[in-house]
Amino acid sequence: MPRLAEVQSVMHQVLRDAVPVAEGAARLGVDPARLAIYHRFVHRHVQHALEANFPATLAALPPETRAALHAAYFAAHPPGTWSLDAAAAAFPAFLDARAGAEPPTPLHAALAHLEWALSEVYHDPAVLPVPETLTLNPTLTVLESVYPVAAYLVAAQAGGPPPQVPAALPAPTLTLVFRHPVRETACFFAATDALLFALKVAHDALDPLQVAAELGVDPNAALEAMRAGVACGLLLAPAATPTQRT
Amino acid sequence: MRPVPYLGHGVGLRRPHWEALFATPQRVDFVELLVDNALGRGGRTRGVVERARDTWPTVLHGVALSIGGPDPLDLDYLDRVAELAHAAGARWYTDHLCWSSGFGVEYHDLIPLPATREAVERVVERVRTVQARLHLPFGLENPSVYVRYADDELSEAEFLRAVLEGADCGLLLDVNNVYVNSLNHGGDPREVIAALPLDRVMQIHLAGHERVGDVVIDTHGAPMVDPVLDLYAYTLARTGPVSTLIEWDNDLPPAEVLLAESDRARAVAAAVLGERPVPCPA
Repeated sequence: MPRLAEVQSVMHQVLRDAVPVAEGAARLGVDPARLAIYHRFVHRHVQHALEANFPATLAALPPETRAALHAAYFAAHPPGTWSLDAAAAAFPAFLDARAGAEPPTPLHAALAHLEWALSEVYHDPAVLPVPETLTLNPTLTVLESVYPVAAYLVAAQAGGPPPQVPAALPAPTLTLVFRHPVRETACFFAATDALLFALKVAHDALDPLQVAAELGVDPNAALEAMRAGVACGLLLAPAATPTQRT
Repeated sequence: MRPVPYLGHGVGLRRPHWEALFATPQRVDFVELLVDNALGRGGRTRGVVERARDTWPTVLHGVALSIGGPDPLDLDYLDRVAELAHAAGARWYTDHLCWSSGFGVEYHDLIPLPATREAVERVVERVRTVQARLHLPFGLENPSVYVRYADDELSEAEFLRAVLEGADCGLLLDVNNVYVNSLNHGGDPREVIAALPLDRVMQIHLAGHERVGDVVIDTHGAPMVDPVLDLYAYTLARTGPVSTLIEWDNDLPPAEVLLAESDRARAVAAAVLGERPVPCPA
């Protein structure tokens, strides 16, 4: 009779594709069709984790590429923690390593980084404080890419067929990703000069008018940038500030 | 075994139903939170956990404990469960009599254990560790299993009884799983129920299932069938009132459909038990 350790070793090898289902079923003394159910379930869980976390990235890939990537990712990145979402964590880097002229391209990898950042900021355990002064949203993640991934994802989320793949930009752009402090949804914005101004002022706890004077920026534009930062959730405002937490 | 209160009839608090369940005029006696969908998460998920705590009695249910797994128990996971239980005000915590990870890999599925005395020993020792660490009533659920190992030494009921009595823990009795196992492996589900240590039933799960080819899968994606409700009535006649929860995880219907399923179970309980016991207040 197989001992528990042997049963679990054989089952593990079947579930991880190291032993064919039929061979594993014979060694365990179980119906191969029934054992195949578990094999299928375990593979599907990882596939579902990818589909849940990277809908736009996967939609932008040809179906045959998707299937091949699922299989290769399952083999290369066994899930290591209880969190099913975490089973998808390595996918952006996995695409980075495979990106080329044919899909997956660097755009797909960049898009996956953005989608994963959205998942991470949504679940970020940080408690967003109601600060005494303007404060940078602690869930902020800044991504850099030569592809306009923020614009692409906006278009993809609008529905319909996947948007046309954009060309690489002459210089990298930044995308700001954070959890909105009131709606608690994950937000992303292509970084504008105004948002970067607000980010810098809040991060370094500077006086926006003083910075505006030093940079030769219109003070009204500086204040408007700060208001825009609060309105979109990039900055957390004191409770008395009417533009937030209403 | 630590005693647990009777909570009435509840439902799983799944993300697509968050807003609807908080707003519903329909009756919800308690809710079950899926540990692995809430552990370590902030933002809206954490807010919903705390709001649930302030709205209903709550219980925790997990799938990743791997109580029979080959790797050491994940004590960090248990500590996170304890923290979540505190935040949720949970009355108890349950997982499954199975293994769900091994050799450093998570399967995210409930892999059946061989029904052997060796497996009983492994699980009993680990349940004692869980109970000592959590300071919370703890129970194991009878899983649906699609394979039975040729060298099993114990029946489904004998295996459960040996573990529960050896570890002195509770049973989350999934009536649908007993029924599904009887369809897939033969046998009389009433005989299985009757052979269980029914004084240890701390909660009941009810759910729907679906036939896929020649096997019945515990999908949690369909309404309950009448034979499962009949088996539920048979069970309640032997246990008395037990907190009962409807599981629905796939192809989720509108919340009112889910709650109507809960009402079906409540009606069965009322018919069997004569009068409705008053659930424990939140």
